[in-house]
Amino acid sequence: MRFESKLKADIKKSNTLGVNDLKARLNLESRPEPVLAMNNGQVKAVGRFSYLKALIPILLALVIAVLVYIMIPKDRGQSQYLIIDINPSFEIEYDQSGNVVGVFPYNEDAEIVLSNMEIKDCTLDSAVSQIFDKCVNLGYIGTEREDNAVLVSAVDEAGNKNEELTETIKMLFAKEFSTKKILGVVITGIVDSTLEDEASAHGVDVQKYAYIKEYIDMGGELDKEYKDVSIREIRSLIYEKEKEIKSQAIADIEKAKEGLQNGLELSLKGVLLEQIAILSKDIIENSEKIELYKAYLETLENGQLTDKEIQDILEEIKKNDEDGVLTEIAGGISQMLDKVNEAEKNLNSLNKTPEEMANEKLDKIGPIKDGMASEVEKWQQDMEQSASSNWLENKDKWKNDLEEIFKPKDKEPPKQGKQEG
Amino acid sequence: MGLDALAPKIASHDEKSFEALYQKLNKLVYLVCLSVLKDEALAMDLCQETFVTVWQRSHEFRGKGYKSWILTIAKNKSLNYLKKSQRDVLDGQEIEIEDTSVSIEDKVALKMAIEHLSTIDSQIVLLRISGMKAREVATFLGLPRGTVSWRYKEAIRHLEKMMKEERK
Repeated sequence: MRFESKLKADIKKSNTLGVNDLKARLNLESRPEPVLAMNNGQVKAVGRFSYLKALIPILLALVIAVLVYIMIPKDRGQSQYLIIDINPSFEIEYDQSGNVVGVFPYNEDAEIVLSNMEIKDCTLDSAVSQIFDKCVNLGYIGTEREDNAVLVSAVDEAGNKNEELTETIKMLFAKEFSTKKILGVVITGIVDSTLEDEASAHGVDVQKYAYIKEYIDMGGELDKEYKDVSIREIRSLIYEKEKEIKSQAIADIEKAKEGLQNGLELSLKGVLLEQIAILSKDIIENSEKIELYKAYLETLENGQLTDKEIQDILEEIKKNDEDGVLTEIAGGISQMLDKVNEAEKNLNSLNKTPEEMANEKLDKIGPIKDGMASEVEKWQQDMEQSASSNWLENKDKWKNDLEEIFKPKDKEPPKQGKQEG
Repeated sequence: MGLDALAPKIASHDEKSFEALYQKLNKLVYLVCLSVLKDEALAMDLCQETFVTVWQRSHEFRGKGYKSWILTIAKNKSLNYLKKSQRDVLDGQEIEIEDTSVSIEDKVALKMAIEHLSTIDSQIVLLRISGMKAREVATFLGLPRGTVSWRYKEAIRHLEKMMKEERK
């Protein structure tokens, strides 16, 4: 049976006193009438002095009520809640005038910090300062550490984040760090509100939950309750996990690179060997033709030939390769060179260091993709082309238009003088 | 009939309405007292005192939230009792608690809930188990609703863990 069911059963078993006991008690405690019973059974109205005596408690109560009314602030307004997570985690309730109404520990560490502390009715500044000091004294904030972290968030009664107040509290903590010369960061939680329910179910602030979720999404594991993980700890775990992922990515890339290099080298080797085998066969089988071709080339290089002789030699070369074998061999060699060039290009693309590749992998935005870059390039080319074609098509018209505009206007014929005579 | 509607009738000392109120709320009032006092006999006593006050002072109640008003009386009475008893112990006067036949020993879960939880957590657990909604408990204790939900879950988890360990 689950604990809740057991507890329900226990509560059901608990009997309170019956209503008759209560009624009996009420009769015992019923207020006396303002009359006095005489020994002889007669009833006599109380005298003036006795009335005054009876009025004393009422008057006293009135005076107290007036005093209380004067002393109690008239309107404390709606409460606000401040969540502080160091890892002692607290919720501080305070009224609109900034006075602490109550402090609630979220975990055992917070209970330790709050023991023997009287911060109710203090101002928020003072409460923050006292909590900070106690956390330093108890070692929750390390004076020698550089990774101290405090998470603060302020919410109103409806649970909405109050960013202005969060910022104010952030400044208060920042001031504490600064005046006490302790290194640390103050984090304010402004994150996806869809996580709020999950965070609430785990009893942690939404920002802390977001950090924990990030860590777990990265493949991290926590061996304790979320509320017992300090904000410093979770940030440090994320940092370490990032490093681990990065180094793993570097190792993976190095391994992949090695494999790729081997693959490329092997494939190149294979292609070349195959090509060489074919070429070798062709070369051996056609060695006479090649020798003849070589001789023709040497003759041509000699240079002391007439045009007619050169023409004849070229005709001979042509005739020598009527079956196209020599052309095929030349093509094969050219193809082989192409393969070598392509392999070199591929190998060069692996020149980025694994770290650069890992950074790209970790970068959430990522580099501009090739597709995007070529799109931009294409657009640019289109624009240039359209501009130039417009120019070509219209240049004559535009030229005429310009000439028309700037053409010196014909001088008006001089006005005729007064007619003679 | 809602509890708020009973208030004016009880204020004019209608016994039937008072009985109806007692039947509906006595367990809840008792649990509030128990969560603060952590003693069944005392809780019963303070529960009765609460209803005596309700009988005598219902004419002072206005508006809505009669249930919350009654539970607040129970809580304040229990807290005042505790403060007074602490003062009396400091002054050298020992508090004599009436010997009653009530025993909590046979109610393991209830005993754990009141002994191993803080007063606030104990109140949250007992009130939620007794059927009060998280929103009502939050209003009554002056805590955010989310806090009540997660503190309840945490407390139950803690108690379940303890119960398992005790079984071992």
